[in-house]
Amino acid sequence: MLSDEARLTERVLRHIAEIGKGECSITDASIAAERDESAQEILAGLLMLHEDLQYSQQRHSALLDELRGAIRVRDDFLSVASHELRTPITTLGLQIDGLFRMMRQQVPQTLQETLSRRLEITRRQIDRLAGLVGALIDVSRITSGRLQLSKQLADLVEVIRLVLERFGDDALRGGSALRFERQGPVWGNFDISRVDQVFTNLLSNAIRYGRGKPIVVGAVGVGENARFWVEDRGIGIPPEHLNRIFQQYERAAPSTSYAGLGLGLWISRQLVEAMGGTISVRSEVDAGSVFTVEIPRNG
Amino acid sequence: MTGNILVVDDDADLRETLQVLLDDSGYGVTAVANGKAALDKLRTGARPILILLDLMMPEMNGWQFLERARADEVLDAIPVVIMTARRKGTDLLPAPSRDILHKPFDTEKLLHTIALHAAAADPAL
Repeated sequence: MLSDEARLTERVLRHIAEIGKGECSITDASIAAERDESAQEILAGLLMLHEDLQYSQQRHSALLDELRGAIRVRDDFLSVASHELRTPITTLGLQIDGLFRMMRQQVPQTLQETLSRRLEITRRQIDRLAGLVGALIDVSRITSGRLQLSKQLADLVEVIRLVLERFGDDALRGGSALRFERQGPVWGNFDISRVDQVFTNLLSNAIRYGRGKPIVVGAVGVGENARFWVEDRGIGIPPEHLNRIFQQYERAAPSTSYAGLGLGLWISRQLVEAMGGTISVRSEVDAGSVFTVEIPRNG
Repeated sequence: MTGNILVVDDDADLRETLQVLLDDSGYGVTAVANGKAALDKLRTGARPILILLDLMMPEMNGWQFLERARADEVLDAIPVVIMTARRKGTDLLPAPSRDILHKPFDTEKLLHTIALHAAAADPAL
């Protein structure tokens, strides 16, 4: 025969277990039926605890819904806004093309040099704007799972050579000499525009953070994989930031000193992983960084 | 390469830009602001060698225009180059006579794409 106290303890433990599962069989009537006043108080307290828990759980899930909604609104806005920006960029680009043409045909030779320089700068800024908008669109595609790859047979060496050709002037402006290490062609099924994008990102980082020192890039086939890398001798990355740099909106260099959205390496990692590959970095402060990408050739 | 191109875009600046650019390149250009105006022009004017079509437009958008054009044998035979910033919803559009220019595109790409389709559609060439 259990004592009243032992029965109450057993009952309290049972109710606590119930409450843990989000249920509670205590009612106002069952409290009133209890003879002992302190037992009544304990049961009433448990009921209140249960109700508070229920309330905070509802509140929690309502807040979560709200948060998810707000993120969806943000992502939708990002998608619409970045697409919207592409039309004025198109018009601007076509106008600059037209001005170049007019200049060559109608402007006296004496003025051409200055004018051409100004148009070049405008053209470069439009390209930069287009690049930034492209990054926003990529973020929106990646976060909503709409990233699609389209692969074709290509030589990685050729893809990289074309980027280097495009980058010649930029590297010179940054003062860095470019060297390309390769042996022979590296054939594979690649999404050319995405490989181009990843390599472009790594190379523009190397130029930006390379302090005008020489930059070495390379491409090689490693069994089933294709590997390419970009090596600079610039500011380098402190070890405590190495994991952070591939994350969204993160950057190791202070945004007060170096321009950028903090999206390039995150987008690159997402693209490389979507290709079934890996991206990695080795770096030493004041000595430079090497970024290496390895992707399957027949992925 | 000559012939008339119908430009359909609600953005007045882009319309004018394309008009000047294509005109300089030896094409005749008619420019309208939406799909409905394009249908009106096609009913009354001469048959263009190509239609340069925006997708998002008020009154009648590009998708609606294409639907109407598809139902008409004469219109359906005119090559259409779609100008769009989106990739979503454009996958169902390409037919042999249709192509997509993703914004932003440059003059070279524009003229190349136009020449490709205009030549293919011109029996005189």
